[in-house]
Amino acid sequence: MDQWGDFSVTKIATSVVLALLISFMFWKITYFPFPQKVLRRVPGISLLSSGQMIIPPFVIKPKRNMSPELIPNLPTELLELIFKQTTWDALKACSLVCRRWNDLTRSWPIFPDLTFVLDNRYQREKRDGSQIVLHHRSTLRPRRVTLVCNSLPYVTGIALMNGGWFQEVRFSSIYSLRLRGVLTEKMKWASASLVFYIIELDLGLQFFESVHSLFHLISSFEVLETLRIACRSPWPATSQFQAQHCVPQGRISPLLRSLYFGGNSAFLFPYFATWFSLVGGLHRQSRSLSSLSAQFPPYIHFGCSSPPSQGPYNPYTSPSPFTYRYHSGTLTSPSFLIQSVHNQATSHDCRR
Amino acid sequence: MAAPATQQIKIRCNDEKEFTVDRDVLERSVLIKNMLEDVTEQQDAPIPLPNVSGPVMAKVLEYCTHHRGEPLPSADTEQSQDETRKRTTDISEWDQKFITVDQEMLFEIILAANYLDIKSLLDVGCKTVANMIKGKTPEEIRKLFNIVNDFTPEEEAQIKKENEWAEDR
Repeated sequence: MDQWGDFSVTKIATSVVLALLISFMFWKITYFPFPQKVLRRVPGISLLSSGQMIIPPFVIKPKRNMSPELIPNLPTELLELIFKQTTWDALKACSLVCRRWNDLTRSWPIFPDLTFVLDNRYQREKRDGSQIVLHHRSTLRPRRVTLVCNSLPYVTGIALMNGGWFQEVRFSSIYSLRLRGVLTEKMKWASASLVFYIIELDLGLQFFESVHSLFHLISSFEVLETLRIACRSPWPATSQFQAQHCVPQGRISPLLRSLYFGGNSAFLFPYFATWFSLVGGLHRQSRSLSSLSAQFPPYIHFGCSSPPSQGPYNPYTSPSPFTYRYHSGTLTSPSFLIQSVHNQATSHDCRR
Repeated sequence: MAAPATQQIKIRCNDEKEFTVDRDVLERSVLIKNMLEDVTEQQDAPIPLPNVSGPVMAKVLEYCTHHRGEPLPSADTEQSQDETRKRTTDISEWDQKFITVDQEMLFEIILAANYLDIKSLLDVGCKTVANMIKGKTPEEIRKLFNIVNDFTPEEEAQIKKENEWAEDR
């Protein structure tokens, strides 16, 4: 019994001592893992008066070769030079880095290779009931329409070119709801040559017999641009055949079309008035332009409707002579095919 | 009458470091070339370059020595290069080895090339940075250059939406 009792007392005493020892060690590790004198010298670690240690979640040490001051403070002209060398994808990434980089990437013409070729060789020659038969006039040279986008995603300028890649821009028009002052000089020259250009260019009897038609052509770019955003579709097609597969992307519903017409007609009249007044007197131009920009309606967003109807296409009620709809196998576009061209050679033209 | 190619010119950097270099090497810099042309009499005093340090100038001179004798780009060729330069990030093998330096030196070289007006060196520097950026996400670029993201989430979303315009291009 005594032996049993001695054993119990020894065991209990040992357990108590061990427990005390473990508790002491735990307390010591928790509050004083290292001597305070050492800890206080470690940057980023603070000690409370109670001795508790506060360690930040991450102690970030700058890597070697990093120059925190240099890059953000590079002069604007040098950053622009760097951005000029980058690819399109890199430029998009740069636009998301910081505000300053965003401004710089957006001020640079960001779509230098975005050019639409307006192939006016497909002329609407004759009618067969409600169908339009296209005839290819190989003697005509394709016209080129260049969208100038100085500010994403808005088209800040449109340049029409006559013929080959490197010919002079014959006509340049500003069509944008975000008119920029820097392009005013371009507009001066373009407006003076507007009437002359229409007569000389002879872009087709059906659609360029009036200034109104020309403006429909130009204004359609806004819709195309918006559709592209809304549909996220690979439009425009790169060829006539591809264009036929564009049907599933949808088209503008009648409601949206009327909205589009309503939106456009609201500014078409003052637009024409301004153009013609500009032709008469260029000295009034800057004033007219400023009023013109004020008259632009707000940016209208179009959605995509459900699958297109198979009804006959009426070119006279179409929102634009520049039609992008193709019904099952039958080409119903009146005259124009648009091709997107990714060509380095175009970059020069777009920056004009 | 043009000065002989063997003429030695002294330059002094902002850290008082001095270099004595052949004139034709220094004339890769349009800034120094113009300065030398403006000075009719031969002077022994070194040309002060207050915006360039000694180590950076040594690298610049290494580049200029290697490319000595090559024709300087004229105004016309510069203009045509501006059109073709875009998105051509090819750098010659020697230039690639030359520009393989740490970031700080790289950007000092770019700044020096800009100050000294050495177009070809500036191009090499900018192309190198463009190559560093290529294929990186905005976050990776921020980390690479230690740039703080000062966009609000709404602004960032808006920019992404705008960028979608050419997403499938």
